[in-house]
Amino acid sequence: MKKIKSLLCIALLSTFLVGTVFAGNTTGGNGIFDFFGRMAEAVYSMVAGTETCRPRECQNCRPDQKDDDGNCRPTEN
Amino acid sequence: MKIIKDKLFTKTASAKGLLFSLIMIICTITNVFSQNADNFPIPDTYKVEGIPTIKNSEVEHLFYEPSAIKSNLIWDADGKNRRMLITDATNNIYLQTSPLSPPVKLIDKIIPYSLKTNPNGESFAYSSDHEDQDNFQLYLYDFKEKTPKKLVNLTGKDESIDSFIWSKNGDAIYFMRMDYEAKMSKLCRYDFQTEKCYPIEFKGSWDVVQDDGKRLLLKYFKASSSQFIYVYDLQTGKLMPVEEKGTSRKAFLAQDRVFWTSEGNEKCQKELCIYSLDLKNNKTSEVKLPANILNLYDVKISPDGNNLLLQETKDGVDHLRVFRLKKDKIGKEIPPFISGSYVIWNTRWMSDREVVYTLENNGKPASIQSYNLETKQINDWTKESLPAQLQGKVKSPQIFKWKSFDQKEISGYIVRPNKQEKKSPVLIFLHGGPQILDRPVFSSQDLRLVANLGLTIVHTNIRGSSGFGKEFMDADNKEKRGDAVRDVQALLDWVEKQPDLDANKIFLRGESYGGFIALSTALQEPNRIKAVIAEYPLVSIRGMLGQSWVNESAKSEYGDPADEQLMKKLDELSPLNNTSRWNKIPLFLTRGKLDERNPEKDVTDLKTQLQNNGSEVWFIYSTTSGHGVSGRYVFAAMYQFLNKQIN
Repeated sequence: MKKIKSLLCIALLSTFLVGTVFAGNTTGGNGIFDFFGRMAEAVYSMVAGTETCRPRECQNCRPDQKDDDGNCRPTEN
Repeated sequence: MKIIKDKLFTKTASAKGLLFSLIMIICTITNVFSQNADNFPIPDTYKVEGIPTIKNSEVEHLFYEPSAIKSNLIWDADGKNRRMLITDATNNIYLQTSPLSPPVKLIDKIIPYSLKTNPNGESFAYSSDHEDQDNFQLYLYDFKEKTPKKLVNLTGKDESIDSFIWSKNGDAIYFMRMDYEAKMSKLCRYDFQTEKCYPIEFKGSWDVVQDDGKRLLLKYFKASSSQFIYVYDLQTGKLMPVEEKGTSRKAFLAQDRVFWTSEGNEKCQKELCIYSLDLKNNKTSEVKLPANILNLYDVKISPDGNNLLLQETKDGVDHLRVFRLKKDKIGKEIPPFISGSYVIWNTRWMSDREVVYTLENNGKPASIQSYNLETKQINDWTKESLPAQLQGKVKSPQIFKWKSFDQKEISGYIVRPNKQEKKSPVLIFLHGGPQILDRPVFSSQDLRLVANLGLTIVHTNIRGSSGFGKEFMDADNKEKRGDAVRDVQALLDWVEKQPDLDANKIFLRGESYGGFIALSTALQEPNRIKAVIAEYPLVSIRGMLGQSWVNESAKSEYGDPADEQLMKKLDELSPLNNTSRWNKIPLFLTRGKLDERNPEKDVTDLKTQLQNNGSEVWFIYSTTSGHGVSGRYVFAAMYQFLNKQIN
């Protein structure tokens, strides 16, 4: 029974250790949760000016995710 | 006894087996969990096809702390209180009460299309389509109540408030209800109690531009290169045309006059002119601009009507110039006050003596400054910041030009890596619209792609873009669509002649209409394009023109869907139904479920046709996005796609 217990402990410990290594941030960060807490930000490209293009033809600034890249500029008017 | 022992042995053996199985299950689950935890997560709202699992370790260097970047632009100025409504990098709305004070967040998770402060400084209004894609509604934020509220309800099947202004004293909002089904606009006024619509119907798409208390300045947007100015008398209800020739992008009321820019009429063919109409005697005169004004991009008059702010744009660099204005005569110039090469956005008169503006370039995030004409003092209202890993990664943008098949001069700008040891792969970017202008603004996506993949990014303004005059903007209309593709083909010739660029690794990236041009170019150039990124692209002009919203402006650009001969010609350019000519070029494709500008079936049919053709297709379908699919996963996948094709 002791053997079974120690086998179980070793197996579980190894599994968790391996799991932690896989979950870890390989580049020295604070781990998986910190990584997903980060946000990509890109101010990108150009704006659909109201003077040359209608919003339904040119507008493509969409907050489709809460951490969206924000690829737009305020409309110029 | 033996029986008992046997039973005990059997029990012990069963327990061992059970424990072993349990351990194996735990090990398997934990390992699977651990491996999944190392995978870059696909949002629940995405369905993806053909995209290999992305490991966190492969892409985490692309992302950084949100606080590491600071980029602010002006939404609008509140001259009454000398403060501003500004954006951050994700276009939330902040209040900036004084130079370099910490911005106060007022509204997040909504990207307004347009925002205008009340002249009395007590509130601001904005339009947004977050409730229903492409159907913009009006909202009010009152600084006392501090909660945004919707102002009017849209009742039609496909209505949108694409344009609004404040009344002169801020007691009401004038707006245009555009009915995309009926193709009619209705002029309305909301005084925060009732909505009143005027008994005049406007055919097509109209903007309300300005109120001077007695009359409204209106603009009929027939097409991008056919915009006409009108004055609507609020007392008599009469509509008076100001100019119905050429195109007039800008107009304003001051000194009982209408001022407007004009281009493409008898007098002003290519250069932008400014005219003035005296509303007392109906006399029109041209405002003579100084001879050294080149490529006039924007004009704004000070609140007292005595100063004129002109913005010139040359080779991607903007210049601000301020002149005195007396009636229709331009007077003395204020000495220049901005040094350096910047893209300038959203200029505003904060007062009769102070202008505010946003400055940025491809290596500098946006920041806000003001300039006082009397004290000659510049004030920084916000300061930009950039993560260390993105600093010094690119060279200053190089504006370049190339000759197309018909000798037309086309231009763009190049973002090159700061350090380059061998020939660089090339990503050609094609903007949407097409009637917009790609300028060398700050782009963290560009920086990250250049820094991590060694790419050179070539931004283009092919024919059809704005900023080069009416003739250039119309040069891709209808049956001339293929000429825009030939501009890109001519660019490929140019790339082949550059000693530092790798012509064997040319990638095309286009969004929306730019996606169509990218796909179409790859169809015409089966051997020179290594891969294509088409983000929420238009894939068939015939299909797009079949949408019920399509108006006169879209038909002016793309053609009449009833013209079968033209449609057949345009079908030839379309990748859809021409995939037998597609040379198995790898494709990265995105599509939003809520996108009503292009039929979904066209996009999914193209995807299926290419998959059946044996082409490599990386497909992202977002169930919550419309015309615009972006976010961390999209960028991570795009990075992996490019990385694979480069190496």
